[in-house]
Amino acid sequence: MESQALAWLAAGIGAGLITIGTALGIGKIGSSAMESIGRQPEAAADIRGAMIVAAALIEGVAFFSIIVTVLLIVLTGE
Amino acid sequence: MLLSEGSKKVQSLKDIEPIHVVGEIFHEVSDQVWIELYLFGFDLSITKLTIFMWLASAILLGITFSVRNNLLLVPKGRLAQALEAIVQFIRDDIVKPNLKEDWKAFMPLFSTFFFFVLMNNAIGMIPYLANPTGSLSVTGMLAGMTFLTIIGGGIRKNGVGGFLRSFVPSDVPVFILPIIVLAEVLGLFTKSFALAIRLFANMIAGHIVILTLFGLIYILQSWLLAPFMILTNLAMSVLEILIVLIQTYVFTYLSAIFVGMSVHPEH
Repeated sequence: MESQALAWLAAGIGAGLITIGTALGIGKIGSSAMESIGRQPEAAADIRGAMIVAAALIEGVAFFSIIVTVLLIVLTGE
Repeated sequence: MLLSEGSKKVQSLKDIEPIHVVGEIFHEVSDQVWIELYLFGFDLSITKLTIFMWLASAILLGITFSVRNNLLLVPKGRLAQALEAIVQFIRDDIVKPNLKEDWKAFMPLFSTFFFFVLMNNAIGMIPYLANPTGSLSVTGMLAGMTFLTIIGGGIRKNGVGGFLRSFVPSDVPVFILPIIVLAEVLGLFTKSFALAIRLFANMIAGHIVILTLFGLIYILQSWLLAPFMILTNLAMSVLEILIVLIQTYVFTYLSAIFVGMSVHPEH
């Protein structure tokens, strides 16, 4: 394989791995937030805010790795 | 735009190589210099995103000055009431829980953050306009202001000694203390850096996805895909409006958390 094809393959596999990790993380946050809202419906507003912030923190890590994969494509695409 | 340029120059779909579509997408989401300007050896060129940032700021200033005369205890007029609801949300849900009794000093900063980021995010949803927050320079500047506020707010409230002591946790064994202190100091920088990357990547990702879905028409060389892509992009645009609002909230909320952690280190 030429190096460009290899880089694009790496970017594709990397994007898939990022999706797995992020989906696991955000899914866990979502499920436990739903559980806590079900237990304490009066605290729903606080839980929702905390849930969005925690999801954003996970998303931040995911975007770091997305940028690595994008760089793999951009830098070898020229 | 990808589509308009394609219809002008290209006779058939076969003329476009897939690799050019990728280049076109990254050209479309990146910044372009419109007016070159060099002052005192600095590159102060006016770019596409600078113009749109000015446009967003002008809209914000216009809204602010139009409701300025209605500033009463009970605001009159639709715009003033809508703005009051948003400002109240910022005060009660973002600033007050994180900054406790010092909320008044930080309220102007965080409401400016909120409205500036919101307007700069939202302006990218209008066709033919771009969102300035899709540039790392803009988000880096915003995160830099958060960084300075973390340091300045901590020093103003606790003094230089108190601010430095917030890096040293009290109930930690001595032999791992250097590692913890190093991690805390590094965390000061990574927090702000992650703030910039998060907003930038979120805002640029939606545009890349929309352009890629349209680019699939060229990559797969079939006009039959166009109706499906328009429907998919309609759904993506709805999702992106949601992301615009969520990321505005997240940027302001995380900034408030970080500043609050520095102003009240015991929390």
